[in-house]
Amino acid sequence: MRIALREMRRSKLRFALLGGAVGLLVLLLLFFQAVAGTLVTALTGAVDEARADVLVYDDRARGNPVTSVLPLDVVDAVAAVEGVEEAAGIALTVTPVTADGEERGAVLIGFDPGAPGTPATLEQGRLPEADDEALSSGSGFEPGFPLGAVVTVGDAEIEIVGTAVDAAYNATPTLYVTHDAFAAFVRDRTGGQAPVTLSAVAVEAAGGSDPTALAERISSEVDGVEALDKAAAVAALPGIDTIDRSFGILYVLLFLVVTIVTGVFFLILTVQKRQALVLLRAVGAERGDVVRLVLFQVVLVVGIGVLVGTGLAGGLLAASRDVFGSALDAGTTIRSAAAILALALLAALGAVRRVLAIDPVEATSPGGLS
Amino acid sequence: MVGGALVLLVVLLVVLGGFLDGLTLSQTGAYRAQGERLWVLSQDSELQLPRSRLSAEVVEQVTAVDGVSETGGIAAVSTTTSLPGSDELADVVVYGYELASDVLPTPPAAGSAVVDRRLATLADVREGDTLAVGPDATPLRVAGFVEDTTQSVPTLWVEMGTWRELATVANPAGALPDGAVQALVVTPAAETDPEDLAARIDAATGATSTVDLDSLIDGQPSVAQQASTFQGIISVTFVVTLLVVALFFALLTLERTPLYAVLKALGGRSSDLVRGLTAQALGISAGALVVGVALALAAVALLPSDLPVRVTGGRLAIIALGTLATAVVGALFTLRRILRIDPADAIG
Repeated sequence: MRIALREMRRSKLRFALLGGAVGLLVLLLLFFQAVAGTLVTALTGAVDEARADVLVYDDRARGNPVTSVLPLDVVDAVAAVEGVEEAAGIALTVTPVTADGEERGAVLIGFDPGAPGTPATLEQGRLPEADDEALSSGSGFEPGFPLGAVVTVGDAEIEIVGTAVDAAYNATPTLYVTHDAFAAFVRDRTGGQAPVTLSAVAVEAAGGSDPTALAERISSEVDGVEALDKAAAVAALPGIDTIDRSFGILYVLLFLVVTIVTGVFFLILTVQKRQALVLLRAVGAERGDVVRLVLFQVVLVVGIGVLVGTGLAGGLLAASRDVFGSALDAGTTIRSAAAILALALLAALGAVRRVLAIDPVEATSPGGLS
Repeated sequence: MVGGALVLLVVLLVVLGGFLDGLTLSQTGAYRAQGERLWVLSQDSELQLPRSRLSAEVVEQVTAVDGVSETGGIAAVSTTTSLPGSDELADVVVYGYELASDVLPTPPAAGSAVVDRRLATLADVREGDTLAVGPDATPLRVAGFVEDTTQSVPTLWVEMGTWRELATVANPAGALPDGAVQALVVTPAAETDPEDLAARIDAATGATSTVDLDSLIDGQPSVAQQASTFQGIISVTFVVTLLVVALFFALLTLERTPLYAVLKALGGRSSDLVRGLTAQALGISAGALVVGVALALAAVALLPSDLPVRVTGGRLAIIALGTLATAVVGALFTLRRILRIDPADAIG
């Protein structure tokens, strides 16, 4: 290993450039993963963190609460299905609101406090108990309203009595209010012209009921609805599939670039120092010694690149917390680092093959070391 | 081998640029369909159409402002539509509108819709077909097609009366009172300064934000955030390209040091060597660009059509110039080593 380290000290620029390239690629990869994770959480929080095993939508809504319109009496129909412990309606709309003299966009959700559909991540305060109270939640991209704030929604003033974590809808600050408050807002906004409807029904399964089977039963027994277990409901939300596939393509490209750059570098290096390697073998070094030399350098350079890239990604995410609200996830970081190291070692196989093909007798042939 | 790594980096740059432009273009098609008109939205909407409401009184006030040639209401609702001959549903945004433009024809008759061509690429939709739109499967006859009006999903364009009926069913909580719209598009009168007109409209109503098309698009939070994120990532990828080229030219220079020493001993100047190195960097990166762009275009063509990737000529030009420039800069990282080569090294 001393030889490997001495070679690296003598060729600092080359190894530093490779480490730098790997570091930046790791930075890109971890940054993408963190932002994608925050984006998905921000888009799905209201559904993912809702106290519910099954979500029921209009059967023409494609699992999208925004395009789902259900009559009020569907709650009773759903509650009557065997295996349903409790069911409660959720209504959703977007509206501008004013808080602290500042206008902001918000999602208004009408719900039954304490019933299915209630965010399970209450952080501060309590659930609303009156029509002029609300529970607030934000996302990594935009914070919610603080506890105690008074928000003007339409003509009504609503006090924030509780906050929840990661329960925003569509990355937008979200206010959870009583159904009566929601209905009053809609009546004021539409001049009384619009019927009161729901966007979804949240269902808690009875003990022992399989949510997937329950969802199928609800879909078949209640007219005009499509029920999804929570995982399917989250996956069906608009944009989630596109985000997963788009970022997946970028991850693959980044892993490929790291692999090829590392593999090509060590292959060129091995070709360049072939004479030295022949000499090493000629003076008694075993094949394994020479291979270990190459692999040691791969692990060291890529490992340092991974550490530098991780540090840079953490710093960049911390500096941009106001914009993205993202942070590195330890598990994801470790898995990605391990994958990069494994791919780098795989890419070094080309160099290893060349090393294994070295015959020490070449050192004795005329011009063998020239 | 250097070229191979560069090819992959070019593919990554083209795909990143494709996502950036695809996301931006696919989210703003409906806005760009109105041409260069001014947009009037409610002041508290933060330029977001779903949050904007203009009452009938505000519409009258805007129309009465001196310098306004014509105004047209715009409103949008997200819903789904059945596809002809299929049980499948597709997400769509239905726009009610009043003014024709270079992209949009005169609003079709009640019960008909002009359809975004993108819907025809997702399913076999033809003129004359009937779509079942919204929770109540309201029938809309396809009156024709328009290009590039996607708003993340395909759009349907209908006259305002049809829109109001549909929106009452598809989004009851967002229904508009009689005479109200979500936004107005305004055509300035001849020789009227649009910026000046925008200010006068906002002063007259006291409750609106009037902007041009570019400001409307830039004001969409998703567009601004995507642009800054992807541009930052593309910049970092250019730096990676620079490092990779520098790395490989460092390796090559080391191997060629004796050759460079001989060339200098024969009278070659350092500037000749630098020119040669630059030419090699340009040649390798140009080759990598050609192959990389071809591979990237092939890869993009194979991607599912619903992924927001669009490769534009302008973006390719920026990537090409950037790659050539970073390749040259990367290759010149070894300039110091080349300048220090002593011709005497050629002897012995």
